[in-house]
Amino acid sequence: MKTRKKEILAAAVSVLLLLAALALATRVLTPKRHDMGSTWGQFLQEKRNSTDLLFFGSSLAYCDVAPAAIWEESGLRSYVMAGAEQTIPISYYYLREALRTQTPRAVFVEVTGVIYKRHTSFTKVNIGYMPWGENRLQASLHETEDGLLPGLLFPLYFYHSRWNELTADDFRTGLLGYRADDLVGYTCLHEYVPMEGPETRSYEPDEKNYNRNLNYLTKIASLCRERGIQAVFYLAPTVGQLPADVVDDLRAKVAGMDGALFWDGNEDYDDLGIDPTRDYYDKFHFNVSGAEKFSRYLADWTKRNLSLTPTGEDSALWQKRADALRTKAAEPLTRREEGKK
Amino acid sequence: MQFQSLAYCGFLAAVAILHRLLPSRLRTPCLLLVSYFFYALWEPGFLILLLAVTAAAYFAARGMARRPARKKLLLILGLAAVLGTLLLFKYLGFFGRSVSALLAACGLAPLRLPRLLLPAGISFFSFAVSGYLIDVYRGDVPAERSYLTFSLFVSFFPAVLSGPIERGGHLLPQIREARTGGAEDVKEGVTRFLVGLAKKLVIADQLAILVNTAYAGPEKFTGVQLLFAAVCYSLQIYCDFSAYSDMAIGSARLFGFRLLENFDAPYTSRSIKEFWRRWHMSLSFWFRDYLYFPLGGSRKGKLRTYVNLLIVFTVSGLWHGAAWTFVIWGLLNGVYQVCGALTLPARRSFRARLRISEDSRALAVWQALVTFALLTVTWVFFRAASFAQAALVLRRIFTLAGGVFPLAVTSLGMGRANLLTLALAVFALVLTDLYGKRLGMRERLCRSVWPRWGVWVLLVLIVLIFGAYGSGFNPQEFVYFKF
Repeated sequence: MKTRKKEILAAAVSVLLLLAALALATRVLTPKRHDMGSTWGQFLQEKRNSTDLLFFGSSLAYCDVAPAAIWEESGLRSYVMAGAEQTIPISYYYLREALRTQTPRAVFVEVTGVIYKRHTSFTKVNIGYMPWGENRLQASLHETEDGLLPGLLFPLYFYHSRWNELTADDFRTGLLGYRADDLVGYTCLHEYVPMEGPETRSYEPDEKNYNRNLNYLTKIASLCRERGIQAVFYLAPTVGQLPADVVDDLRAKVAGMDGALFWDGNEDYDDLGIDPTRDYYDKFHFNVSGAEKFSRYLADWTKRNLSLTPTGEDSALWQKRADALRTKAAEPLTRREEGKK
Repeated sequence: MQFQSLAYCGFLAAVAILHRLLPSRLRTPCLLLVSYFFYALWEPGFLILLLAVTAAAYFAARGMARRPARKKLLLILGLAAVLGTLLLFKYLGFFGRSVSALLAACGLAPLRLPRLLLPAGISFFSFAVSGYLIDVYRGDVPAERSYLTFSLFVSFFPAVLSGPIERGGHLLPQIREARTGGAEDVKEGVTRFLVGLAKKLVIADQLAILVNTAYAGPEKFTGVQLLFAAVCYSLQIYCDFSAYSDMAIGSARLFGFRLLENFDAPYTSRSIKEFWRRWHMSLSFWFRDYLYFPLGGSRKGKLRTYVNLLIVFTVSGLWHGAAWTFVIWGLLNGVYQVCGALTLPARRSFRARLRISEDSRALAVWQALVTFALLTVTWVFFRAASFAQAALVLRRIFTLAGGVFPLAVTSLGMGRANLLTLALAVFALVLTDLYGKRLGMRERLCRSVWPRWGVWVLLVLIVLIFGAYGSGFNPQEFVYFKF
């Protein structure tokens, strides 16, 4: 009997130790994500209920929207919680997850994702960095292709062999956790490519997936309405633009979605003050110069259309963030080689 | 369902629990059904073949028991059915290719023979069944009365795919007892399984990266790099197959069954002869008992002994694979043994003149190294895709093609840190092989509580962090699985 008890105790302690060691190994071995979207580790460092606006979507959100500039212009506190080539359904799960810790007054979703394929090469990253919980599980089960699920449920499956490339940051961040992001979810690009007039971006139409995406936009709108949040579905101003019929259809569909607003940033292009020779990183993304201009305009648009007033809280923190953006923006832009991604 | 997969671990745990909960009369039927399910997962069609071989052997053995006067005929019929199936599926293609090559050399049209898939585990279960038939014929083992018991002997899932090649006298009594795993069996079984898993995923499959790179284009690598790859393959095949055996033995132990041991630190052998008493023991002893001894063994003079050795090892090579590279591999092992026996007196007298004690540790290490080197040459034939490739690899090694420096072993697809970790793992394995049995490590571990759980946790962690699985790794089948 004594041996049996000892065996049970040893088993319990061993299982706990094993789980703790695996959790620690997962934290250390998973590559750290400080920019380029899916920065959940940093997002979760934000004080609870401390944002007025939340931005979701793809790189068109995290490369184009600088929350510090929005704050400077409007006093509104925001965060960009987007992911590379993020699909609309994953944005929906991002929103649900973000609303666990934040109570924004408006949610902006960059909706170019309606034309993305259902599964992209970034699905692994977009879901893999979400905090553990129901939303991550739902996204893992419903939005992944074959072969990704084991790694999303057990990240060492993807990353265990990184043990020989670990850096000091892997240990520091893995053991002590992420620090809050001074750029508040924004990814700063410093290169530019001179652009000419707008053009229509090419894509492979997939009606089934498009309708699925619209369905998830409806879910986002409904969720926002339930929570008393104003949903804004917008298109970032780009050189490579969605075909006009898609934009028109989107506008019409969003009009019927639980009070959500639709805004096509390209329509306001002339008011943005964009310099096409210096402000674009590529056909789709602004560099820091363009992003700052767009963000200030976005702040102005929000004030005009949503009648949101700043709370005035955390101004010291936001001033620090504005200074950080200014420091970044002061770095010289360099011309990007054509063809370089 | 590979042994090293998560699916198998879940399957094994579920079956072990179910088996434990069942009343004893249902245990054998349960294990039999599970074994057939496991086998059918590989290729459902070949389950019929397994059933047919089982039926043929069972009735042949029962016939021998009932009609002793026709024993010989029934043995021949039984062996013809079992080994005929093996010959048909495994060697028809080889025979066709070889004859076609001869015909082509004579300017004639090649043979047209159907292409047959190789049923999983056929070499293993057909040898187990053949051994049983011969044992029954010799009167060493009574013909099994229960069809269920005999069927489980043939198809028991831990051993059906790659052995150990069981003997009727060893496994059948255990099945008859309808055993269930006790606490000691579970401890030993889990330890054995985890050790095998670590050997497979942390050592064998990592070594496979180096070996596969080298053999994918040996002409691109220097002699030293190929030598390194050849040594790696010697280690890989040992770790891979002994890992399989550990996992099979560990799996069976969870149900209370003790399968035959297959390896006994073979690379510590001081001669090729000793090596074959420690390597794939269930096969070596099968050949000894059912081929070497019937041929006369060593009782009919030296020349006949040497001929018998060459026959046994050539057949052993052919058993491993239907290709000339395997035949050469087997023959080479036979030639080593013959040469070893011929030169033994001279070597002994040479050592005596130099006053080197036969018990000297330095001599043992030297002999083990020489044995390893000789075996490494044979493994080149075993691994190479063709005789030409094996010849190329050996030529580049022996001519030190491309010079010695820089060694550049990292260009075989693995960085320094990985190589270092691999070296540490191999070192740990060597220590375990050298001292594990002597110190009774496994027994001590099973008797203890905290150290055993500590080792289990450590092994799982080592596998999960350093193992070759998940993204970026191609799951490697067990090398012996294809036999």
